[in-house]
Amino acid sequence: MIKKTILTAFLLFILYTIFVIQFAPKWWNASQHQWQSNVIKAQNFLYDDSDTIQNVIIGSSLSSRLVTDSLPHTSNLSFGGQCIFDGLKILSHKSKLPKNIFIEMNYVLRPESKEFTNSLLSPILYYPRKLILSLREDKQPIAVLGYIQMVALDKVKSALFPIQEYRKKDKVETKSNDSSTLFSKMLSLQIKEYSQQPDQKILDKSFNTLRDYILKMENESANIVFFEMPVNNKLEDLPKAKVIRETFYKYFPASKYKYISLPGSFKRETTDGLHLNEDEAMEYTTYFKSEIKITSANK
Amino acid sequence: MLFNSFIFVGFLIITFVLYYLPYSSRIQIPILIISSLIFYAYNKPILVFLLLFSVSVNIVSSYYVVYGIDKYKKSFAIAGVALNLSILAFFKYSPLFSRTFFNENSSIGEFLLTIPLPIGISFFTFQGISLVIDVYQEKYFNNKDIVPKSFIKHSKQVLFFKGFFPQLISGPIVKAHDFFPQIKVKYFNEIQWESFLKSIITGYFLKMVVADNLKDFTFWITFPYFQNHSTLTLIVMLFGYSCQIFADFAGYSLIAIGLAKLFGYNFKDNFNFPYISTSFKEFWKRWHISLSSFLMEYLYFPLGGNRKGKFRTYINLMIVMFLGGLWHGAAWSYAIWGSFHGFALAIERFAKDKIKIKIRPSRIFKICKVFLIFGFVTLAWLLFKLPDFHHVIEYFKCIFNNLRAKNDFKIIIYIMLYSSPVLLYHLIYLLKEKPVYNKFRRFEYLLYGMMIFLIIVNSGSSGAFIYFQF
Repeated sequence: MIKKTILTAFLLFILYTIFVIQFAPKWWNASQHQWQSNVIKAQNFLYDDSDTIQNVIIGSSLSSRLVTDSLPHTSNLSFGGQCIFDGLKILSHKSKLPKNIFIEMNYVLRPESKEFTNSLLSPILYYPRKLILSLREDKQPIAVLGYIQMVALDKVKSALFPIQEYRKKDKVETKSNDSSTLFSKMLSLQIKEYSQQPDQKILDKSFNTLRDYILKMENESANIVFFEMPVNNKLEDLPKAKVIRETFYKYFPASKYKYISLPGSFKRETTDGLHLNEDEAMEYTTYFKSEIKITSANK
Repeated sequence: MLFNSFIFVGFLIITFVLYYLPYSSRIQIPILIISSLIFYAYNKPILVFLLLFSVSVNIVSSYYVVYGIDKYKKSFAIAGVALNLSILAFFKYSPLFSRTFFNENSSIGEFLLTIPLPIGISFFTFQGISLVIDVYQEKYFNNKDIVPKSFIKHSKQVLFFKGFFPQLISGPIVKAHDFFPQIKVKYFNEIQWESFLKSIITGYFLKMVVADNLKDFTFWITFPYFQNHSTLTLIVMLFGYSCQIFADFAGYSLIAIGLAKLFGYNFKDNFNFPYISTSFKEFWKRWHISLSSFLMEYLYFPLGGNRKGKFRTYINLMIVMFLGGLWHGAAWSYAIWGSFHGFALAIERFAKDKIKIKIRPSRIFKICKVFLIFGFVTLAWLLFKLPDFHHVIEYFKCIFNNLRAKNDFKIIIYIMLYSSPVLLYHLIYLLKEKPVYNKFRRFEYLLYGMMIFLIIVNSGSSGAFIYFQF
């Protein structure tokens, strides 16, 4: 029984690996949730050996709203629920750095998630995943099965409901969720959080770690650009945001480093106080794109 | 050290090789003691001293219960149990005591809040209690066969019994009368490989594929996020959490049982397909069996069990389950959870005693009872996920109010997919009585092979075991 069990597992693994490499359709990849999307994004970046990436964005869930598809030669290492140190750790693992590195300023106080980076960079998993495609997060068979079911369900829905009626129904249902109440709750929680001065020890520790990363990257001739993701207007000038901004200028003077300033006329309502909604994200991406162009042209 | 970490795999291989080396037969117990202490100290080394202190309480009390002066034996036993419970109370319940009886600015209250919760304390404390009571009662074995005259040898055995790493931090709660008779030299050729492999594969599959994937969807049972979900999504998430908690804990227990087998020790089953239960009584005979049997033997029976009249039986059930609830966590929500089960057991017993209507047992009636018990048990799990009772009420309100809200089919589909192995697991059990099961057994290697394949390619992000917090 033991031999047969192991042989069955081995055969299934070999067959699935061959299928993923040779026969799987292009859409054979899926992400089930935020953590997995983060892992997939990081794995795609880590295992991409091509030399085409010129710009990389390092950030939190705030920057993950940037519509990267419209940014040429740019990779977005912004992870929901994570921080810039996760992205920086992953970036430091690459043998060659991209030319321009854009670093988000907002979530500098959140420490690196060792669980996340270890799961990606532990040598026991890193090399097998690099070599064997079926071991990668986006090829999980049950995740793909779920994705297929969702697509099928969408098709059934669109066959049953004409598109306009469906959208109308969607709107009514969303309204019944009382999302505005949730928004107010989330915003008031953020206001409370942003009204507090950051802990000096955490502030120093975070900025010293960041400085170490920056020095290392500068030694490898990377161009560092800092940017602040827009948040709800009510949060922008509260103590936490102000102190973080000032500390950035203290550690990384504007005379030496490039900063992308917040667009003045930009409307910032957001979905929860922190994250831009779809339209706002698109608008800010356009602004960001123009800044990338300027940065690339200057170098 | 997590069972699902690479460091543990390395640790296990080294321990295993040392344990079965030709010249190790005389030092097998010290090898397991040292490796267990390393295992326990891995995250917070300082806590090893607490484990050693707790063990020393049991060494002294159990030794003097056996070899002490007769008239003081009872005192030694009482002191042993009381000290065990005091250690548990101090480390586990101080924060609850502080929050309940002291105001925020009180220095005592603040101090009590800072006391850390040592991992596994609830489990190894109960094992210690079982040792002291077993030797005092001398019900299961002859004491002199189990407690050697040599104090050092006895100390070694007690340390091994409480510290043996497979069961140290999350059970199963192994009773002294089950473990001590097994202590002897073990041989490599006596390992039950097939049984070990089945336990380990099923355990890791339940944990890494089922529970670790479900946790990312049941995460949304968090205040205030759940408020925005539809009735259907909320119900499915609750169902998913029920499957997750089973997969997580049953998975851990199976891994522990498998690991113990690797070193020649047999632990009793901790789960016996609990979600097919047709009554609360049956549920507690199938769920976390090592705890429920502990509570029955060492608490319910000493309280009088069902021997002191019907009313007293109901009260005893309530007391046992209330304390069983508090054992799970230092929050009143756990006490409410335990009381709910105690109340349900008492009502069930009352109905059995008073209602004499005979209903012909039909299959449909049985299935309805299974769904009913599963439904109530699942609703009660919410108290595990949302320790703030107001949030539990809010969750129920949302189930009733969000009928028209948009269903999140991503959550629904994935929860159903990852819960299906739990359903299948219970279905296979139901098939055991049918002739078709024997045909299926011939091909069970396909099932185990499939589980290994899914562990390799479809594991979720590694998460701590839910029962670690207890």
